[in-house]
Amino acid sequence: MHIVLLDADVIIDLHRFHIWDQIVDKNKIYISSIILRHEVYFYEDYKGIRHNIDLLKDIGLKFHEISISSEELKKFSQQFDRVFEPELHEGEKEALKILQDNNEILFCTFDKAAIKAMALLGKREQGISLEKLLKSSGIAKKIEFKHTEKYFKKYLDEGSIMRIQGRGIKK
Amino acid sequence: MINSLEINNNLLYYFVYGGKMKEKNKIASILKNERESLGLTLKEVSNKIGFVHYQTLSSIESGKREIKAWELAKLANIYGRNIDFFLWPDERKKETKILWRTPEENTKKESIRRTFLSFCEKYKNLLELSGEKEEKNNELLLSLTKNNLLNRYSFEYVSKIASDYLNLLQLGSRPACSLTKILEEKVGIKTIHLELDPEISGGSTVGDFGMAILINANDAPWRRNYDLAHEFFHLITWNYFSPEEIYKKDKKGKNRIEQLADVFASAFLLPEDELRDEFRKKTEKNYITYLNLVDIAREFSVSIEALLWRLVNLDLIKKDAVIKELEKGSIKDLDRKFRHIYWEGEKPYISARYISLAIKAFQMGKISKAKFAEYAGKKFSEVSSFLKKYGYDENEDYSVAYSIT
Repeated sequence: MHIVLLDADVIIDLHRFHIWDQIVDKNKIYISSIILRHEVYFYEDYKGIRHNIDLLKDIGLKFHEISISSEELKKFSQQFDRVFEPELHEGEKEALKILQDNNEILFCTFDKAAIKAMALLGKREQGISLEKLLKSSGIAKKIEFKHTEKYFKKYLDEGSIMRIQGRGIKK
Repeated sequence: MINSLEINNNLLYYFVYGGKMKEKNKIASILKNERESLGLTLKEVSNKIGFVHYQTLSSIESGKREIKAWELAKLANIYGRNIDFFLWPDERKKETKILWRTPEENTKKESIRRTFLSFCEKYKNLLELSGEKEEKNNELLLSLTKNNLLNRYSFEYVSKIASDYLNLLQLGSRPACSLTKILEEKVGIKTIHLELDPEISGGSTVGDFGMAILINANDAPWRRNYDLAHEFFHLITWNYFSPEEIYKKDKKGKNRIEQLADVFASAFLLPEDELRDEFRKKTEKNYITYLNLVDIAREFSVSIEALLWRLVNLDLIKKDAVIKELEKGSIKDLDRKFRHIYWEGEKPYISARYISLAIKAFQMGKISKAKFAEYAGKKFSEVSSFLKKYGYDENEDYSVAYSIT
């Protein structure tokens, strides 16, 4: 069982694949407040039909909500070099700040900029691809390229290179 | 007004806390000012954010309660601001003014102003993020003489400027067809389309992001073309007139600068030689049918009124006949019927170039998907289908490139 913080696109795709309940059963799930309250509203099936995602009713039951203060958000944002940073939404910043403060949490995302930022912050070991999460949860499901370990690693490497070159983070 | 309120609050806190204002209280005071500047009550905003009691917001605004990042993000959204506006108030730039097409105050204008300026800033960011060079438009701005813009021959002078710009920008015989693209990509004017109420047809501005034009996406394509040309005139004369001069009316209630902008738009979209040529082709025995006039208007993508007035100015039809006909309305009815189909297409959304830049930045991993949603003015859940509509596949590897010989 992993302790996992989920990004918005992961939550949406877990619903789209109808494996949300399996994932929450097999892992301890955290969702940051901005992602929970700003970003996840519905998913679209292969026919383009929208299905609502109502997560608020399951807070504390299926997953835990986790948030930071606006002052913490500001301090976290100050680490980045504004010229080179991958531009992140407050939701991802909140998630990454939580990741920075909690070494036991893993962050599952397939957002290129968020994966890069994770490596940039020296947190690549705390990143987990959706492919790996499904595998470790014993779920067999046909996945898309963006969910793969290969895709995840590619952007982790880009972020690591930026970190080595001293780009993106203030010295 | 907003600025002076902010200063007063800062001073107040300075005395209360005896020095540098605490971060929490700084944000609190800005939040209160923002809500009040938009004329919103504590209850209205509390409902929008989802607070059960308005006292929660009141506590945040008075600095008694710490504000969570998600609450600040929601409030920023409600107030039409970027979250940085609250987090880094000291880095805030001077408020940029907009030259509205209609100067009358409207309660919705402040909110539209913020949305428009926010897209202008984002446009600038996207150009930087996607590595596109911002056009240096100074050499594309002709030097004008203010005296010539105000003397009795100013209409002729402005027509001449329109003709010079047509040549300079190589807009061809049907300028409306490529106007938006040329103004955005060649001159570097950020053209933002927003769905506005009919009484707000648009405006223009110059800020740190460069020159920008706001167009009402709800208007007919020919109206949008006209507004774009009209606002372009205001931008090329930006340093020549103050807003007071622009809005000043004469004894007859007419506004000289606005008249000049109309003359410019008309001459710019309906180049004299091409229009005369088209008019001659469609004239039979000293008559031109209404149908042919509608056809010319469609051909040049301008409104029938704009065409008729341009023909009057070129002495091709009589002014009295046009006034009479426009009052009667039959030619306008005919125009509406025949061009209805051209209005049924999809409305422009922000700006084609802007969206393309945002997709590029997202594809390059320069902005996250949630940030893309913010740039595109969409909800996060809508992004995948929005990207598909523009032909972008999230699973495709777009880093494949040709080697250059």
